[in-house]
Parts: sequence; C-alpha cells; structure tokens
Amino acid sequence: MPGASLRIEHLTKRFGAVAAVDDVSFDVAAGQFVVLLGPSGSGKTTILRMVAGLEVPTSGRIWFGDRDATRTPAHKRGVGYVFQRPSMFPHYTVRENIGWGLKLRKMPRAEIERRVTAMIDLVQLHGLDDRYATQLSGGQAQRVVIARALAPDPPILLLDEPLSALDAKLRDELKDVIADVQRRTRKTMVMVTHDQREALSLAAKVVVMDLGRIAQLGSPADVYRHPATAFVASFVGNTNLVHGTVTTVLANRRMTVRALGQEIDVRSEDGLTPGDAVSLSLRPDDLEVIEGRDRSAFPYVFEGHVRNVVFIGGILQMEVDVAGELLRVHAAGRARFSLMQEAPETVVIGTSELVVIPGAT
Amino acid sequence: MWGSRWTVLVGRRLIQVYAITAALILAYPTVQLFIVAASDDIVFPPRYFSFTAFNLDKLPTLLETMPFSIALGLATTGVLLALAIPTSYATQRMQFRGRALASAAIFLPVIIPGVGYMVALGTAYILVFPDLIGSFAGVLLPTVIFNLVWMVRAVQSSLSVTDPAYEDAALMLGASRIRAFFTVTLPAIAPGIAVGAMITFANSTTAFTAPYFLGRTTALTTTVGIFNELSRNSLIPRLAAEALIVELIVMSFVVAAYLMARKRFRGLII
Amino acid sequence: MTAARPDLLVDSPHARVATRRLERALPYLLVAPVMIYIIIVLVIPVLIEIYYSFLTREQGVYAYHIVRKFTLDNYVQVFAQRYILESLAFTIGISLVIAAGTVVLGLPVAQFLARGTGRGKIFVEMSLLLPLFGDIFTGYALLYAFAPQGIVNWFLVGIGLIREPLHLVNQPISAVIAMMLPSLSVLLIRGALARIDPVYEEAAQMLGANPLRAWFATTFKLARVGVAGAFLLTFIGGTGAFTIPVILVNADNGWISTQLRGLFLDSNVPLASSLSIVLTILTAVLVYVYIRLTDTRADVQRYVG
Repeated sequence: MPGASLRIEHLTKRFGAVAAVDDVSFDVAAGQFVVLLGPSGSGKTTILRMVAGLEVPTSGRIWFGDRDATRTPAHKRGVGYVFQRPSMFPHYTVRENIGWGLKLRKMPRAEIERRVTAMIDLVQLHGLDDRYATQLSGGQAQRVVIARALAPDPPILLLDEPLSALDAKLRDELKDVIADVQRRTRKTMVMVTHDQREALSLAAKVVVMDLGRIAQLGSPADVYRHPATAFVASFVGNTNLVHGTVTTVLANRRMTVRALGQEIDVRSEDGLTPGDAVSLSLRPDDLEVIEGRDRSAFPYVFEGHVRNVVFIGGILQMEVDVAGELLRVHAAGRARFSLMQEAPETVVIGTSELVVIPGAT
Repeated sequence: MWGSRWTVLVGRRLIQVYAITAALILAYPTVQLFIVAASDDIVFPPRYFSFTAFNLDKLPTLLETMPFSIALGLATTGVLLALAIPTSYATQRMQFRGRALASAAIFLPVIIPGVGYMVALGTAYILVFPDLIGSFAGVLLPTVIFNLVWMVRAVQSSLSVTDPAYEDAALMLGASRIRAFFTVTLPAIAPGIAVGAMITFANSTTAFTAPYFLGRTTALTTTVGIFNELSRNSLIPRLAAEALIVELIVMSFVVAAYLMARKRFRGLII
Repeated sequence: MTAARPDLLVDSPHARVATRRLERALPYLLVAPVMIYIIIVLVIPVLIEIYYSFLTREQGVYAYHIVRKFTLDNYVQVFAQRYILESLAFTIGISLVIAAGTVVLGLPVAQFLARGTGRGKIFVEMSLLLPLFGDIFTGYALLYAFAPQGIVNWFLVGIGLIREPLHLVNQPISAVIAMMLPSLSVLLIRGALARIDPVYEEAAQMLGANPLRAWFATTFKLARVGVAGAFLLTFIGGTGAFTIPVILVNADNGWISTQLRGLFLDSNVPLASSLSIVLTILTAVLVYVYIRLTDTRADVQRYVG
C-alpha cells in the first residue's frame, strides 16, 4: 500500500489546566518522512500518540488521506507504531511477533510466512527467526518491532523515539535501517525524537516543537540555516546567540544592527523598526579564524580576545571574547596552536553565515 | 461493537465501576454491624435508630475479654519485636552458613495448618504443661508463632530499603556495631517496624484459633468471646455492637499501618 | 585508640568476612532467640504429634489410654474412615471452587488497581484491608446479613426472586460466599499484572487487536503464572480454613479442619495426630509446587528477563 497523507488540524491536548499540545497543525505528504523534533515536554510524543489513537485529543482533527480518523479507536486506525520502550512480545518468537498482526486478520498461513520473510529481509534480520526478545540485542528487537509494524502494510508508520533506548553504536545502525526502509517502501513516516542529528539526517521535513507549539516547520536545511526563533537556533545544532539592536532600516531590504561592538549590515526582516531588539545566531562551525588571509573574503569579521582553548582531535574549540560576548568557535584542528598557552591573545574571526532572529534572546 | 471511541471508554469505565462495587461490598460488613448495633435489632431495614447499645455496661462480653485481648496484643507484639528484629537483621544483612535454614524455619508456621498445630500444641500442653491450658501464656505462645511471618517481613522490607552504607559509615567513623545499629539503622527502619507492630497488634488482639482451642473459659479474646455468645444465644444485637467496637479499634491500627506502608513499602501490606 | 578493623577493608563493606570470633558468632547469636523459640514452641510439639501418630488408644475402664506400640493403623484410618474421606473430598472440592471464584471475581479489581486511574484506587485498596485482617468481623456481619430477617433475604424477597427467606446460615454456602470475596487474590494478581509493561497492550492494539483482546493476548498471558499462583495460594488457604466455616456454618461442618478438631476434642489423639500430619504434608507439597511455579527462572528467562 502506498503511503497516505496525514493532516493534523488544530490539535490540542490538555491535562487539567496545562496544554501539552497547543493548537498544532501541519501536513505530511504521502510517502514523506517527517520528524517531530523537540526537548522532552515539548508535546511531540503526545501528538504522535494522538495520531495513533492512544491518546484522545481535547480538540482538533486528524486526517488520514481524506478520512477523518479523529474518532476512530486505536486498534482500527491501521497505522504502524514503533514504541520507544522495548515492545517486542516477550512470549513470541521473532517470526511470531512479525506475523502477529497478520494472524489477527486471519490471513492464510502461507501468505503470512511469505510476508514475514519479506519483512525480515527488509530490516535485515536474517537467521534469528526462532529467538525470543531476551535473546536479541536492543537494536535487533527494535528491527523486529519495525518489521512487525510494517507487516500489515499500513499506509502510515509512526515511530516514537525508536533509537533513544539504544546505545550509540546500535543507534547508528538502526538509523540506517530506518532510512533504508523508508526509501524502499515509500511509506509515510512520522518520527519523534529529541536528537537533532537524527532529525536532520532522516527527515524530509522537520517540525520543531517547543512547549506544545510548533516553533518552526521546514526542511532540515531551512531549520538549520534559517532558524526562526532563538529556541530553534540553539536546539538544532549549536549556536552563539548575541544581543543586538536595530539601528537603521534601509530601503533595499537591508538594515543595520548594532551588536558585538559593530554596525552589522544584514538583510532586513519584516516588521522590524529601529530600536527593536534582535538576536544574532552565529554557529561555531561557521566561524573561522582568519590569519593573514584577506579579511574581505568574509562579510562579517570580528576581533576578540581568546579566553579558552580546548583541543578535541579534529576540532579546536575556542572561546573568544568579542565586545563582551563570549563566542564559541570551532576552528580546524590543524590550526597553528592547540593549547591555550600557544594561542595568540587576540584573533580575528569571520563568517558568512549570520542569522537575525527578531526578539531578545 | 468496537467501532467507536465511546465503547473503548465504556470498557475502562466498566472495570472502574466493578472495582468500586466490589469495594463497597467488601466494606459492607462494617455497615451491617453498625445497622444492627444502632437499631438494636436484627431486622433489615432498621425500624429506628438508637445508640443505647453503645453503652459499655451493656456490653459484658467486651468488658470481660477486652483486657485479655489487649494484653495478648501487647505481649505478642513485644515478644515478636524482640525476636524478629535481630533475626531479620541477621538474615537480611549478614552472610553465614545457617542463613537459608533460618529463613526457611521462619516460613514453617505457614506450612503447618493452624488446626494441625493446635492439635500438636494441645497435646504437648496436656502432656508436659497442663497448667498452660486456659492460661495467658498458653495462648501467647502460639499467637506469636502465627504472627511471626508478618513481623519478620515488615522488618526485612524496611531493612532492604535502607542503605547499609550508612551503618558502614558509622563503623568507619569508629562506632561499635551495636552503637551503629542503635543510632543509625534502628531509626531508619523504625517506620517498617512500626508497620509490623501495628499489624501484629491488630492480628493478635483479635486472635481466634489459639484462644478457641487452648483458652478454655479463662483465656479468651474478644472475638472468641463474641463467638461463644453467638453460639449460646444466637443473634442478638448487642453482639454486633461489641464486634463493631472491636473491629473499629483494630482496623484503625491496620489502616494506619497501611497508610504508613503505602509510600515506602509498597506491597508489604497491600 | 580503637584497633584497626581489617575486615571492613576487605572488598566491599558488605562482605562481612569476620575475623574476630565474636563477629563470626554474631549472626548465630542474633538468630538464636527465634530459632530456639520455634524449636520449643513449634518443632517439639510437632515431633510429639508425629510420635503419637504412630500409637493407638485402647478403651480402658474410665477413659482411653495410649498403647505405646508402633502402628501405622492411624494413617490407614485417615484414608479408610468414611467420614474423614468425605470431609477431605468436600474440603478439597469446595476449596477449588472458592479459589476459582475468588480469582475470577478478583481479576477485574486487580486490573483496576494495577492500571486504573487514581480516583477510587485508595478506596478499593482500603476496602481490601477488612477481609484480609478482619475476616472474623466479616463473618459476624454476614451472620446478620444472611439471617432470615437480614438484608440479603429482604433484598431477594423484595425483588421477587424468592417468596420465603432462605436459611443461608448453617449451610456451607454462607461460608463459601464469605471466602469467595476477593481479597488476597486481588493483591497477588495485582502484583503479577503490574509487573507487565503496558506497552505490549498498546502494541497489540496498534496491530489491530481490540482493547480486551489486546489485554488477554499480552498482559494476561504474561501474568499467567501470577494468576495461577494466586489460585494455588487461595486454594491452599482454603484447605486449612477453620474460623469462617465455624462461625458461619456451625461447629460440625464438613471442613476437614473442623473434623480434626472434633477428633482432638474426642481425645482421639493418635488419629488426630496422623490426620494433622497428613494435612501438613499435603500443604507442604502444595506450597512447594507454588514456589516452583512462581520461581521457574529457567522458563521465565525465555520471556520476561
């Protein structure tokens, strides 16, 4: 079955006076991989559970394709769900687990066997057919769960932090499996995670959640390069957030902002007037140490005092004091110095990526 | 039938309603005793209410047996505290060769059916200490056995949730083992001990089997006293009043123990 | 200055490898009081009982006197005497029914306590305290409730189910009802159910099983051992039941414990002793089965770790 589209309309979930999910709406196109990204408590898991039918929304609607599924009970929704905690049935083998949903539908035995084998192939879990959950690693068990969820060929697959319970190495393996599965099956997938690297590497579209609301919605590149709020800028990847004030608004959609002891010329944002407070986002990875090179190569250049240097192999982490603000810089590890004692007292750093976010930090 | 969300919620609600109804039925006996006692009649529905039955001099059985019951309760609890605390400490925190045997021995009273034990003890009394029959001590001895497992469980539970590191820290600081136990461990396990003591008191104050068998007419608890009256005079309302009073006294200890155990010792009582 | 304490510096502080004689003897000293007590008050009387179970009594001039001759006759009698066998069969049969009933009745309550929402949980838990610790008062109350003028008959006549009041007291049925009230079963089953992660139920639902089916196929199946254990334990308790049958039926009811008491009152010590030993062995075997059942690590390893 090809993937179905998913629409969330004004979804709200209240627990008492607290809104865990507050008027959230977004679309997922058929066959698209969308990731709900946010810290714990942001409401992302609650949204997923409402889509699954495991939680009842306080208000709002959920559409699978053109079918209103809001009032459908969980067991009739026909979507696959992968849980964060181990959910492989402990009293069934791998094959029995994967075929469980099919047996429920009273599918003929031969067909079940065929499908189970196909699923085992899909998640690359050969040779473990008769094992039980306690005989498998966490990553293997999660693959069983993914295969089990996909066996009934649902139009949508929901994944609730599927990698969180695994250790780092298994996490990477499973991440590849998930990406591979999506490519091959073309199913609509919605995954929830707090790990922004997972989100950026797997998603076609990222929904960044903060305190029950959508902070930003866009492609991974959008969300990373053009964060809409200070929260998104600091949650997705590392960044330095710096205070600034708008000084002048120019005609050609540009304005100047006073920050870091300079007047910085940036593209203007709508609705900003002189005197407004803004935040500038400068990613440590985008800041470079300029040594003797032509400064004019960089649109934004700052001078500052080196306060700290940490050498981590391929990366040199520096803390540079620029006009009273402490900026983190990830310089290449092949810089001329690797220890604080060897570092010069002042450096010149430059960048071509600088994002202006309306509002104070 | 399962097509709508409404049915799913109803299922959950049904279980809740069932459980609460079951709870009401289980709690009903107290209400029943109260109705009989307060209406001074065994007819249902009660025709009128009067609280004249709750007059102590109208409750002779209670007056006769209450002192004995309370004495038995206190004595049993005291003996068990003395026996169970050292034993639990040893079996829970120490390694020694008889450990499994000691744990199993404490378990023995559970295997031997109550009446079977009464036959054995009764025979032993008749043969060796005939004076024990119908005496306080004669009833105390088996009541301690019957309640042993409760007290030991309570103390062991509280020991298991207390970190032995505290006691070790005291030892490292120079305290002797005894001093460390009394100043560090004992206060820490006091809540568990209190829970065990309350349960033991409640159980032994209302002990039935031992006094019924070995108490003759002189060593009787309230429960046996009421029962004897019931057998003699069939259903009279004042017995309900007596039973109710004893029940309320005893159950207040149990409820107190339950509330205390809820937080720290889940599963010890309930 | 206190002497060094080398024992505490060995491995972890929890390894009480004592080096001093007193320290080595300490655990035994601590355990001694209870062991001595159990030996004197429990073991020795039981040994006396075993001794008497191999003797017989003879009708003397005024009373029975014991013949000190080894015989297995008593044990034969236990299985040969009709009234004893009938009583055993009755007790075992009725205990099976009661155990089944209390498990079935208690299952939804246990599920409610294991998973349900907060409201009402405390009330339900507290209501279990009475049948557990105050079963005698429940018995007394039921005497009044089951009386011809009591609430049960009033209700049954009132709704037209019967015309004349039933005589429930003095019938085994009253004791059966009292013992079927779920209490211990709820606690035991609740523990078993609560140990199972609810995620399996949710996973089953997402795969298409309706909530009841999902519960049966996952949580209930995984808690099977606990439920069986609850059944077994209530059965064991039922075989030894004494107080409730005595209170609610009469002093001559069909339960084996009452028969045993009858023998003892009759001064038939040898037969009473042998019957008592037989019952003890029966109970011990059942308890052993229970322990093996609920502690089968080898099997459990296959499923939940």
